[in-house]
Amino acid sequence: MGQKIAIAANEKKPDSLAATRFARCECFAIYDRHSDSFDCYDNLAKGEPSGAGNKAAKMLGDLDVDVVLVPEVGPKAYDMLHAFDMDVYKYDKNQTVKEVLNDFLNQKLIRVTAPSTKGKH
Amino acid sequence: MKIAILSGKGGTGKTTLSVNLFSLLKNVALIDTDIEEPNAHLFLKDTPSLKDTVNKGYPIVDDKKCTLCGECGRHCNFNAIIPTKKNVMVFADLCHDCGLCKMVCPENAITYTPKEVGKIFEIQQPEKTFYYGLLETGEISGVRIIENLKEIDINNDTILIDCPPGVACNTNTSIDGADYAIIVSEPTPFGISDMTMVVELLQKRGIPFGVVINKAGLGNDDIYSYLENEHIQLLGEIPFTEERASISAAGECIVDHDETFKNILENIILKVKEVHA
Repeated sequence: MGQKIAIAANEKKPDSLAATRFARCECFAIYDRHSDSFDCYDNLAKGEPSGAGNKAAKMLGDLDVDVVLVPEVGPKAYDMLHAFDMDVYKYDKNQTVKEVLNDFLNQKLIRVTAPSTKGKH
Repeated sequence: MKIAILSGKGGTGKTTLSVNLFSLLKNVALIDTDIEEPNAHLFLKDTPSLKDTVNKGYPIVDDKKCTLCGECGRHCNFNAIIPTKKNVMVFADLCHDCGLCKMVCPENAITYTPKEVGKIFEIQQPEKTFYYGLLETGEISGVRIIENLKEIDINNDTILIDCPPGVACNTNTSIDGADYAIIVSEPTPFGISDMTMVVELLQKRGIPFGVVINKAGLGNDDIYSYLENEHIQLLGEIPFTEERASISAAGECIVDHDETFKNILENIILKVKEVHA
């Protein structure tokens, strides 16, 4: 298991709800297992007219994230996350960032092996 | 004179007005730029023939030359080319074929390769010219096809452009170069709501326009007060009748069957010409 875990979030705090979508979520909470701490970042891709999934994945890749926890993931973002060698796990909605993370750490989340949604154009 | 016919909402009667004006007028061209769902040709007697295929380029990256410097990704406005730590990912369907990535690549590692995105069909008759574009299934953007349609050299006195619904890229490209626009609306809340976006678009683009109310008698009267408050010219009203709907549904032009309808259209054209002169 990697050491940097990104979670799509509604607000820049670990107690906030995890987001209901990946590419256009408000921000990413990134948990570092070594320091046992969170760093939160605004999602640079959320306002993109096209290719938001690509840009979000690139942002996380540049931050050296190893694992991404998502509610859904589109086909382009899925390909991009894999191109950056990030593992993707899916969480159920209506949970906080911390709850989602704990589920992952306790190996309760299922690994995503295919995109869950189609692009909406 | 180039007249764009648009509506905002789909199904208000853009194509009905377009094909009937095309049938009625002399020395006229009609271009159906609704490349996602072109249907004007269904109302014409002749079968269109293939004129051109439309290609769009997208980048191919030479991995041997690429140093993963990231310049291409930093410059792309559409997130269509993204460098990872091992290679460069290209998303051909997001690419707008602008050429910027190729221009900024310091290693000359990028070339463009063409991909067919659609086709252009035509019908040529004496003094009547018709074109329509068709987007390849699965392609996202038809802008290139509309640009190619608009570049065709047409010598007819009047050019009618049957535009796509909405106010996005396709519609914006369709109205390029128009001298005047006819908005076809219907007196329903949805019709008015979408029309206001078209009004805003045409005002921003500086294209003079007037409104035709199709299916008059349905819905409510809100559209009339809207036009009055906004000082927008009402070019004409086409009352809804079941006969007209049936003629259209049978793929026929209403002007060939309905004298009243024909007079309404003649008056609309007179008003447009007055404004344009």
